[in-house]
Order: sequence, then C-alpha cells, then structure tokens
Amino acid sequence: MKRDHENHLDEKQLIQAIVDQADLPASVQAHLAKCRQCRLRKENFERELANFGQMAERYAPQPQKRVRLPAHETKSTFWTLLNWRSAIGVAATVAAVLIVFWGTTIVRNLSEHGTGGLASEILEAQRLMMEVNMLVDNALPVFYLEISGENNPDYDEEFYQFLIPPIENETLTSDRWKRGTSLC
Amino acid sequence: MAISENTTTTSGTSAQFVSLVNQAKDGNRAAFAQLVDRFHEYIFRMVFYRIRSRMDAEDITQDIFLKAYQKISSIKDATRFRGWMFSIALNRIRDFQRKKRFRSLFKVTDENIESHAPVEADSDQPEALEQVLREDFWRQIGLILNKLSSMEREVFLLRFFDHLSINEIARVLKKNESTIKTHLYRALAKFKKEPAIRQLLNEVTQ
Repeated sequence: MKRDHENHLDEKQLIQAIVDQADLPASVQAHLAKCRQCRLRKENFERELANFGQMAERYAPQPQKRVRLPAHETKSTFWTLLNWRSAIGVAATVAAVLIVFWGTTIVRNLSEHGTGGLASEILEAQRLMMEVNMLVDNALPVFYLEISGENNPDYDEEFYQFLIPPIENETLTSDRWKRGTSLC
Repeated sequence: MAISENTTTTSGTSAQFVSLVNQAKDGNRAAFAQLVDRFHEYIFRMVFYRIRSRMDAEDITQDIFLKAYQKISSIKDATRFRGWMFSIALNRIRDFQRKKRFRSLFKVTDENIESHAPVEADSDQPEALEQVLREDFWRQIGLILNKLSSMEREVFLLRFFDHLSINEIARVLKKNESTIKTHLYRALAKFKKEPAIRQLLNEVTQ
C-alpha cells in the first residue's frame, strides 16, 4: 500500500495522462489502472475540462443568419473558370500590356517630338539671324526703301554719283572757283 | 453538441454521412445543403470561440460554407470532411484576424468582446442575469486564452471546445501528433497553474 502511495501520479504525469495516456510509461499506466485515487484525480480534471467546453457551448450565442448558398448554376466550364478572380487576373494582365504598349509609344513619340522640335528651333534661330543681318544691312522697311528708290534697279551707282558727287570732285571744283578757273 | 465523423450523429450514420459528402462532391446541391444544416451551428460556435463576436462569426461562417461549396469537389477523402471544414474555417479566421489587426492600427477601442444586446441595469429578469454571466464568461475566457501562446491556444480550443481528436488536430494544423501533444501538454500545465482558471472551472462545475 505504501509502495502504491509513493507511485501516485504527479502533476506532470496527470497532465500527460489527459493528453494521451498511452504515452505514459507502462509502470505508470499500470498504477493508474489499479489506483482509484489517481484515476479519480484524472477523471476530475477531465470532467472539469469537459464542463469547460460544455459551458462555452452553452454561453455561445445561436447564429441568427442562415447560410445562403449560391443559386443553382449550370455554368459552362468557361464561365466556371471565369470567376471573379480570373476576371481580375485577366483585367490586370490586359491593363499591364496596355500600359507597357502605351508607355513605349509615348516615350517614342516624345523622343521623336524632341528631335523634331530641336530641328525646328534651329531653323527658327537661323531665320531670326537672317532677319537681324538684313536689318543690320538696311534697317529701313521695304516700303521706305521703295520710296527712297533703294530698290529701284534704274538707280545705279552712276546715277547716285551724279546725284551726290564725291567729295574730291566738290573740293576740286571749289578750288578752281577760288582760283577763277573753270573746267571747260 | 460535437459532431463526429465516425460515430452516429444527430441524424444518420457514418456511412450515410460519407454518402452525403460524396453526393455533395459530385455537385448535388441538396446534399451540400444537408451538410450545411448539420454543421452550421458547430462551425459557427467554432468561429465564435475564436472571434467572440456573433455578427463577425456569422459572416465568417457564411464565407466558410461558400468556400466549402466552391471547393467540395477537391476533397479527397469524404471521411475527413470535418477536418477539411476546420482547415477552411481556421484559414478564414486567420484572414479575419489579420485584417482586424490591420484595422486596429487606426482604432483605439477594443472590439473583441461584443455585447449581444443592451441589458438594463435595473433589470432583474433571468435573461439579463444570463447575459451578464455570458459576457463575464467570455471575458474570462479571453483573459485566460491570452496567457497561452497562439499554438497552445489553438490546440486547446480544438481539443476541448471543438472536441477534435489529437489525430484530427494534427491533420487540421498540418503538424505531427507529437508536436500537438507537446502544445496541449504545455497549455494544460499553464491552465492548471492559473488561479483565474481554477476559479472559473470551479464556477463552471458548481
């Protein structure tokens, strides 16, 4: 009897017996089979745990909503495969392809636009420089040039020399006048 | 009441149950509807034990059965239907808890314990007392379960609240049996040492 008392299950063995009695050493299992006190301790703990579970079940509310299953469908395999996840996947793929396509097109257009724009800017600059040079040569607008006869092809260099004699001739003429001589 | 795959249930025998699962697997909607009737409360409670909110548990239960309905054809062994349902349920619960944790980053209130109905303070009706006891019970359970690690908590709930065998728990959690036993042993050791648990157990057994 004393030997039996010494071999009573300790707390660890008691818990082990609850988890799985078969995992206990054979001697402990044999003791548990014989010892009423140890069996009672085990059964009490088991009952407490069972009551705990039952109390949880009792205090759990009842579901108030019924489970609704989807309406009976006779969908083809195609439509079965094309559920919302597949649809999202397809949409995402299409969007990705479009973004890549548009992206490359836009980049290409931008680069083309960039080189074209540069060329037109150069042409514009050249045109401006030509205008500036023309203005440097003759600042008068075309209208005034026509009035002044600048653009008239009949007014050649000889005419201008006649109209406005060079200074040398003028000086020579005045000298002769002072000296009382004439050209003729 | 717990539902067993291998023993007689509230209606029908194990062979009938397997037949029902096989019919549902073959696309029989009525057979699946019968399975829903049989498992609805059980799965709802299983969810409620972990979420402790009736409305959320109802929504998650609906999702679980919808998922099961869509995937029933993939079940390999009809005798393991319950474990299969539990796997779906645990995944859904994890999803919900993940989303809830994310939402909680932006909120400060604790929504874990839900009040089912307003209780008047001066009410002496038995329903009011039951309501108070219920809320207190779930509050205590929440405190107790929070002292266990996530794995210990899950194994404990599956074993003593959902009444799954060690073998079924191992299949549901995709772990070997010795791992499950180790977690269960640790959970029980903590459980036994906790004075609040002893007090609650005493109240329960009274």
